[in-house]
Amino acid sequence: MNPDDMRGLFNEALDGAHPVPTSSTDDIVTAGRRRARRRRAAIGTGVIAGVAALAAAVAIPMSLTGWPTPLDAAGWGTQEEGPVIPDTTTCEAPDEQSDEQLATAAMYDQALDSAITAIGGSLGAYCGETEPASGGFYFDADANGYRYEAFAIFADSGEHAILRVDILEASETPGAERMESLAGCGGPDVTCTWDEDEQTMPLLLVEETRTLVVDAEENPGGDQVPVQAALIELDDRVIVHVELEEALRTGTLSTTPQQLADIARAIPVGQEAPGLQEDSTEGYTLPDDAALAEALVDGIAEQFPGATVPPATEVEFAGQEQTEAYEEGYRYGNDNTRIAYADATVNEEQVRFFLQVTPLESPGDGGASQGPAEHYANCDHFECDYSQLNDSTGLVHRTSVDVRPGPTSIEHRAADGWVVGVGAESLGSTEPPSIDFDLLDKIVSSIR
Amino acid sequence: MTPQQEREFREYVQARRSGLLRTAYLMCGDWHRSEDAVQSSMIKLYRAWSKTRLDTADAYTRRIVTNTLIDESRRGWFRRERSYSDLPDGIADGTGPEERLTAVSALAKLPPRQRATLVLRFWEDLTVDETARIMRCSTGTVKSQTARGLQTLRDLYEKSNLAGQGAES
Repeated sequence: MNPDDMRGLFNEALDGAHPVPTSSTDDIVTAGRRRARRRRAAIGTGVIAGVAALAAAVAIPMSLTGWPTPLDAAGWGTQEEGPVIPDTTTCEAPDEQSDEQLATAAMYDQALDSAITAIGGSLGAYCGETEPASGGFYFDADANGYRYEAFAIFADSGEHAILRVDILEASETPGAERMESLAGCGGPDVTCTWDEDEQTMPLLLVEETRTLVVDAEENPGGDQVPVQAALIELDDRVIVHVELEEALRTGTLSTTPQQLADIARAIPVGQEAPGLQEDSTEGYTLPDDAALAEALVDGIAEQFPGATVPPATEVEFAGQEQTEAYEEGYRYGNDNTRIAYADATVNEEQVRFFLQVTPLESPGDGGASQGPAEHYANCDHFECDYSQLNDSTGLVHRTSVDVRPGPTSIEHRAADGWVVGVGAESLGSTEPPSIDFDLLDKIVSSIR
Repeated sequence: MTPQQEREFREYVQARRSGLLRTAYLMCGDWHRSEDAVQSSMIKLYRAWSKTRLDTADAYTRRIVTNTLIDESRRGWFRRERSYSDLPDGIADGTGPEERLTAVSALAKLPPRQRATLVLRFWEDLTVDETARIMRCSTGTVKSQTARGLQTLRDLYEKSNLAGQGAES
């Protein structure tokens, strides 16, 4: 099945169809305008996520449910339609975001919220839904950057604006040219000014009177809306673009482009999101197999000077069920226990050292205690002595008598979430090897 | 949206809508669902038009259509509300020539994501990278979905009695 075959298959499936949609382009445009009105009407209905005090604190012109008409003290009476309850499906969740993107977006959200508060504003999402995932920054693959759009409300002035923030990765276009293109410089009623005082990063300040046409039939000339913006280019050619578009059609916007520049600078672009940083106080990452193998071999060499030990690369892990010892009835540990062997010569004695590793089912539970430690050491099958090393670590000295005789030193590390043990058995002999527990203790203790 | 932008939007819709409808149909096999998905994508595009570059508009609409249809197929759900009760003109519904029905039924046997991947790769002629971006997955996933989809179709054709397809594996 090659591409030509596929094309043939698709053509057959379509059977030469030339579909003519039964809805018109006008229908789509009308529906698009209606959705835009509903979103703006969310202010009037007070249904804005995160702005619970809006209706009480700020007088909301009732005329917003339609498109701009003079305030009507009688309320809805002059409107063609009454208050529009926002369609909850108008608020789309962002595209699927990775954990890193979500963490970065959350970091940007927090910084933006602080920056807006600093200039007397507060933020409210567009949507009528209450899910937090429906607002805030999100990564837009098409734009190759993070984007944000929400309402900003300024209590002192009573002004409402649409706040848009784009954080765009570098492109091939030179920075200045790109910034001017994003800002619409050269367009009608757009004034762009490069800040000559800005020494650290290029800063473009924009003031614009934007014509917005929502309903060409009712208001073909549209509304003249003040817009302010600030764009900065960072060292790595990332561009941060902050824009405020006045939303109530009052014709005034009391903020300044310099204030928007401050907002742009406040967003910690390029910083690693806190949620992604390893937190050493909680959670523990088990060493990988290579590190464990190396620790075992190094530990044997250190505690048994002169011993002939294999290279770490020859020490490989396997599930305990895959070992000959398991078939013989030797139960190293509980489920998910893995074993690695290192055959060494110690004082002319052939000794098989083994390292056993078992993840705990509930890391952190219970702290160091005898019951769980002996359970994970499978003490039902062996002779065991328990001692507590510290609040979260129990030590079991386990002796196998019948099957593969020999000692094993096992640490039950409740806080770290794993059980690790080092044992020894004789090769070519039914007697246990001459290995003391205290030496095995030191090897285990060194494996972290 | 300025009057100029709205003109450009209208031109885009008129130029692209039928093609997008065919793509949607190949993905789902249902003209009503196709119409719904394409209409939804165009309405969403209208709201984003002032911020959309023309060269990304196709990717935008394809993404919305593709993921809408895949999500619907997974849920076994389709919209009850029909904006349009009639099928688009010139489209037969149900039975047709034997060859067409077999091609339709072959596609219908593909899981939604495999089907969408093959449509984007071989009907829309998108690259692996472009397809991955639309489907919001890795390029490796695109390649594996493509391979599995082709194998499934290969197996179907080997078992079928289609004529005129040159059905060699």
